Amino acid sequence: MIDLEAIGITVEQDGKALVDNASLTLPAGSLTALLGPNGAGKTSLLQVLTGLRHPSSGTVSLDGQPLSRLTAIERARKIAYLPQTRAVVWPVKVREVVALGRFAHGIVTGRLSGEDALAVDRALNACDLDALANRSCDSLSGGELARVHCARAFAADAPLLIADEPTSALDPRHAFDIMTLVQAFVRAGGSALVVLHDIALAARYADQLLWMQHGRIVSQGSVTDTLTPARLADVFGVSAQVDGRKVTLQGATELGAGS
Amino acid sequence: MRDPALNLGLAASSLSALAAACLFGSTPMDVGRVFAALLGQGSAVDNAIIWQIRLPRALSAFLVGAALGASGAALQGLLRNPLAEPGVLGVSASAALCASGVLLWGGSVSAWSVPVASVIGALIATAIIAIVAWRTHSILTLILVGVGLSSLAGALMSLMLNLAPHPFSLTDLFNWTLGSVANRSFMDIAQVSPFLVLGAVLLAVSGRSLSALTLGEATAASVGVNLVRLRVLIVLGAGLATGASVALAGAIGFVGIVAPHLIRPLCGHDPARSLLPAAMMAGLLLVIADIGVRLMPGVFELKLGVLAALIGAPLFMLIVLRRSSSA
Repeated sequence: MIDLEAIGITVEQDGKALVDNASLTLPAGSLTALLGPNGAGKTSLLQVLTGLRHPSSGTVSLDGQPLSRLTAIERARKIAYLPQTRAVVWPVKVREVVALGRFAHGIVTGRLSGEDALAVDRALNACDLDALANRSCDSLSGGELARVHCARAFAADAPLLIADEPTSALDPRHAFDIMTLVQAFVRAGGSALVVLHDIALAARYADQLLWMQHGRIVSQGSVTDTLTPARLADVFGVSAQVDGRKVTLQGATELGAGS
Repeated sequence: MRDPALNLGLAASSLSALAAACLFGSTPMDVGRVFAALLGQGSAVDNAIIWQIRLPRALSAFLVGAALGASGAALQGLLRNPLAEPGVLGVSASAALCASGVLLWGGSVSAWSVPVASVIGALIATAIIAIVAWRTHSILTLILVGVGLSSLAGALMSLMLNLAPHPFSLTDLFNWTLGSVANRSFMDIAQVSPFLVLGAVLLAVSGRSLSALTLGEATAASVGVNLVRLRVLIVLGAGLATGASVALAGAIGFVGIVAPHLIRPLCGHDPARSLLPAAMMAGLLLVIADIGVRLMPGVFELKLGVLAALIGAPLFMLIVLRRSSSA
């Protein structure tokens, strides 16, 4: 179990604030969905939270310890990251990609020790990849590749998962599959922060929602508290009907998002 | 194929090729005489032929190949592109330029001046490539910068030959730039070996991180790779190894592409696991090519670098075409 807290995160690039004074907490054992339109600063914020990017100001701490003090290896043992891109440069086997999730545990590719091999097998099994373990990554479909990257992240045995649009470009069935995997990870004691563009999917799976607009966090709270037609109209510029965790989008509002 | 089997097979083949290289030459010698000479038990002439001519030449070919193969495999892993190689990226040409400058303008300062100049030239070029790679994410831009660097080094080389103070040394220099391991001695090998060893060590310790780069830079960083450290290690390692190889044999192209290309499918396309076998494969290829060069009939010996380019350049184009058709 792990708590992540970010205070006053600002990311500036070329004089423009991509993330503007964002503060948030990710309580241990919860699934948080980060929602916001394109260009809201979600990916920049995620890069700061994973320690891959230094913020212009603000601090991130894990269980009270500043993230900036950790080495790359220490960080990787606590946070598993799924970036938007699912690139695999060389046609390596599925098992090898998943094994790279154990990098911070000192693995040497091609020669896994007992514990590392077990973790890789567990992750392959959890993501229903047993049959594909020896397939080359360049022969996989988009949905299969997304599962491979999920398994790679789970293999790390890190308590916190941060995922940037893990369901993008996936059909509904595969999107459900991925979110079910993330939910199972959280139920088993992990925490997760997931960027989603599918609001219905977020409402269905998340324990709490983080709403982001123009680089700012505009709301953080439970699904029932923060998911309202007014917020959807304000943040995304869409009109919607909301009934508890059920959302029906009806179309664009007459005024654009955030205007 | 399992890695130990692959490595053992390549090591055995390399040793056999080195032994074969001792068998062939202008003086016919049978196996018995060669082995006697290798053990120092042959006649004075036989011992001299083996220990002063054939063995250092074959060993030079192997070491030069190994340095270029390892540098190529490491650069390909770092830049995530199978076409990255010291020759294509202009590293060899830059090393040759600096070494030639020293040969022409100040070669008698110290025996170490040529290897040092060559290594410095290679390091400057690798650093430029790494900085460009950092700033642009386009592999095409990177390769083109390498081509530009190569052309610039070539142009400066021509300028230098044009302004050379001792015209009589031009032939020597010209022959050297073609790439050859003829007439190399153990002394020549000793002078480049510190750079070779250091380069090899730096590349070897970076191997594990290269595997993670298969997932791209952001993911590699998130699983615990220190990207800055990795880049510095590879730039220094490839620069040292390439510089040393150029100091020993001049610029020999394409072996750094061809050897890793042949090896990659045999070790699961893992950049880390392909480093050692790619080095041995490249060494083996150059030893065999050098035997070929020596056995070819004719008054003038074909230069090793020329043969390597004649075989390597069409293979390079083949790899490019196959990549563009599969992309």
